[in-house]
Amino acid sequence: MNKIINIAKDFSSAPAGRYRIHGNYTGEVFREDFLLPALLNDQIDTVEIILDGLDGIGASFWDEAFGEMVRSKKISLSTLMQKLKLICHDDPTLIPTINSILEEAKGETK
Amino acid sequence: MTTDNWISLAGIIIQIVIAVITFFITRHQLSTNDKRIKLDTLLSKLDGIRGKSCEYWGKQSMTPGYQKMLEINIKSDFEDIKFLLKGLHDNTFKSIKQQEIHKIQTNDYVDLNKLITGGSFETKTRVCDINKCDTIIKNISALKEKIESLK
Repeated sequence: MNKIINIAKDFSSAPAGRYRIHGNYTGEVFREDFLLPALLNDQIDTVEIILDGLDGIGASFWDEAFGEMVRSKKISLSTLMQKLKLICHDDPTLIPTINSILEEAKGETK
Repeated sequence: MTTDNWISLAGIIIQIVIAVITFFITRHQLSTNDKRIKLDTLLSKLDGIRGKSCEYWGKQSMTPGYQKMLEINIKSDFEDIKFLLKGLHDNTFKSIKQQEIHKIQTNDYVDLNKLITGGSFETKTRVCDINKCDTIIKNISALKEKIESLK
């Protein structure tokens, strides 16, 4: 089964911030309430994250949402890489940003 | 055909050729100007983001409202830079320049974005980091040099 999460439609078109205490649409909220439940669900084979339609997202949001997932080891990196599929048509910089954050976080867990 | 007719026909052909040449020269000049405007705007946006981000990371303390304003402005500048970089992908650049632009877009932009909007950006626990300001200034200078070389 595939799960599609369109951040702009399902979460917010302007997510910002790092921790839950900073607001309703922060990296921690997205990771804990959207990403991890989908990724840890055995019934779901692939989680497609649609990154289109987002404006002005700071790297702090991506780091908390994706980087912290690797650092906290709540999910193994191999499962993450196997299940996670990032889709973005309108911004060529977003997927490289997230990949670079994941790479950095992977280095920090060693 | 009489000699006069031949002369008229030659005149028409010459006028058409001149019009076609003028069209292509004008189009080339307009696209070159457009390219320069985009590059100059990009350079000034980088200057702007350098000032705002150094203020953001260099200040010991600031009010939450001012911090929020800087965060919004910085992210908005990044959106503008991204838009300008995207606009440079057109036929007015030779293929080698396209590769350079692609590298700037996928490497330098991503690195700069991570450097400035990473860490404790958009948190209530933002800490002053002078070393970060130093790195930001160096990275932006290097990026500006690369962009200047595209002119």
